[in-house]
Amino acid sequence: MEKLLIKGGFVVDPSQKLEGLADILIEKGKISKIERNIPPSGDEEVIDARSMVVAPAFVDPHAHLRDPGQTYKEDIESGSRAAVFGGFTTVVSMPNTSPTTDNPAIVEYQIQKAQKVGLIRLLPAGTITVGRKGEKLTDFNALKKAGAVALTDDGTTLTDESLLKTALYWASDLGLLVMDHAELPSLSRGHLNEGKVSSLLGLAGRSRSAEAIAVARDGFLAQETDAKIHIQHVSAKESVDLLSLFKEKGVNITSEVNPNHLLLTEEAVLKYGPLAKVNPPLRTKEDRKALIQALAEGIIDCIGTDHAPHASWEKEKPLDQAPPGMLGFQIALPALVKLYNEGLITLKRLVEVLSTTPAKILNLYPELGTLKVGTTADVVIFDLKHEWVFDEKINPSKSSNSPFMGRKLVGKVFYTIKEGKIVYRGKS
Amino acid sequence: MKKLLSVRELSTDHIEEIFKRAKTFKEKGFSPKHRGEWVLMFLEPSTRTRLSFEKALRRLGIDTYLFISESSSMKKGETLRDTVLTLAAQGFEGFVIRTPINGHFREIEDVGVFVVNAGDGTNEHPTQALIDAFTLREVFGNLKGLKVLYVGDTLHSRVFRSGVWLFNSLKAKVGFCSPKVMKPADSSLLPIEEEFEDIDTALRWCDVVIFLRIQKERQSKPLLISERGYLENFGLTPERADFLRKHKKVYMHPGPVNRNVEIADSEIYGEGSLILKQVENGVFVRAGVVDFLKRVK
Repeated sequence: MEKLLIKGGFVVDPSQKLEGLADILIEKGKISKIERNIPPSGDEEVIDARSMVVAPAFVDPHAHLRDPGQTYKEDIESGSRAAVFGGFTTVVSMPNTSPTTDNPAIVEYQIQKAQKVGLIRLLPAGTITVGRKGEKLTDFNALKKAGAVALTDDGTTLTDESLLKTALYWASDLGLLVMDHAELPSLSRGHLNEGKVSSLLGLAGRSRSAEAIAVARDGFLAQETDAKIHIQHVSAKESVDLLSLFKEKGVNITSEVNPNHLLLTEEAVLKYGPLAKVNPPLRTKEDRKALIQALAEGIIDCIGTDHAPHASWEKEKPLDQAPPGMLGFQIALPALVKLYNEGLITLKRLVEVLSTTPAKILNLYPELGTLKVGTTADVVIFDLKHEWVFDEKINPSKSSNSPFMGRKLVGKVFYTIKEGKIVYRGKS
Repeated sequence: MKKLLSVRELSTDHIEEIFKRAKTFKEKGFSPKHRGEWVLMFLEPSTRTRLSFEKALRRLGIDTYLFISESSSMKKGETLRDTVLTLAAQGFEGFVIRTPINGHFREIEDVGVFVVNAGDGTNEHPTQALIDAFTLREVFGNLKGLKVLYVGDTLHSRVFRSGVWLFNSLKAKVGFCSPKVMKPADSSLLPIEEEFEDIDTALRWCDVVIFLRIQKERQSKPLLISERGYLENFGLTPERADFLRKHKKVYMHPGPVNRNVEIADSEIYGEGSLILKQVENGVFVRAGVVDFLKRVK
């Protein structure tokens, strides 16, 4: 279908301060018209978007697609389906694959496979160090030429600050974004937040200072090198304070929050066990509150789903042996709709943090993250009020490791459109 | 003047004196009019610098004696000062010294012998700067207003740290372009006209490029992560060499070149390259320096 007409939707596009009823015409993969009323001409597919929100499609700077090497958890095909189910058309894949994404061949493989699947725009991140070992920097130039957009040793951070500084300099020369899992390994050897629940269970915890120190370090290095750094999955209120300080000083630092951290606290570990294990860990009510407020105010820039599939047998292990991580694509919109319904964020901000801002951070804006006429037609259409149950039947992922499995969620994507093609259609 | 430790000690008259002598040697040949015994004290590896000094001194009639640190008492912890005092007492009147230590010469400032700095750590390499300027004079005549661009590891380069001052004295304009990781943290105390992030912009600006060697041995940790990437982003590729030739610009390198890193294989001795000219002039300019020191009071 060459033409697509989205009729009657409530269009929210922060990039052009648009918030109101409008029709959108898509031709040849581009947004060709936005007007209050565009009558159908008969040669296009018409989408009835009445009572739904129409926004630029979501952009996820942080997802684990497990491909190559751990495709029993997820692969680029199932991961693509899960992404578009959640409204995402652009996804940055994390490089902790097996083998690690530390060379151009793997980057090319990932991009080609995603193109073959044809649902999402997969933008691989490469590792900062060879084998994610924290010792020797990878060939940034070769990774970039292969199509990598960012560098991260996600899952861990560099412990050699001079190596990190060198990495920031080279990344800055090449225009690559360095993303950091800011959590010092020496202070985070445990499995959940270091606090009352870890004390109750007698398990080693991960301290909040592990994150705060790493964020401070990253901020100062970004300031000194003038390089861009992006803090992944902020979890502690101390980090929020530091981010606020650095932003005030004009440092090139951005950050994301995992939607699971916006919904859950450390007590979830008592209820869900290893399903609620994630790094950095779920923390306290105060942290959760601080994260939500920071997201609303713009101290935290965007959502990174940290979509992290794991097989059931892995999550059935004891807490200290189960791998960390939860599904993210599927619950991102419901998490933000919940905040919206509670009056904690605006609809405009919801779209910003899922689309406009991550597109900007990844240098994809103004081609993506916007509905401006002439730009790539990546669009999401969702119902703010629709209730649905997140169960095995509906879940496109190969894995189902989410505390929200089997639970009722509010807010559902009904259409995901990439370059003018419908790549996901939801059923009511 | 008995010592050449820094180009900053040279007045423009001094520079002209040295160049005049070098030109005479080059055009009319040497006559062994000096006597004396000099020590070539090389506490760091060297090929062209050591041999050109050795040749220059011998052609001037001066006997040379080689001192390398591996087989010396400095390995046993003797200071530079004690070593030089000892050798001076043995009758050596001059010293050509290369050392890995910045400002090592402070130890021997007041010792009444001839000293030529042949490179001290990441501080200065005065004779290389003189050679580069002399070579450019042959091509361009007056250097006033000439735009000289340094590309590469300016952070660790003593060639750069001598060159900027010398070119400044000669009224040339100096710019540089370095990967961020090999760039001085703050160059505001150096007489620099322009700083470039993008090499192609920098090449458009300049009249001459001096590619600097990546000083792997001076980097506390290896800073270069991709040789191919370096050539593409900061090196002289055949396309960039063609651009320089098209615009009648020339390029130099103090050597030794890391092939296909700073300069593509095919371009090292290509048209527009003054690299062998620099080497050739090395002997004459260094002889000019020694002749200048021995004659000028």
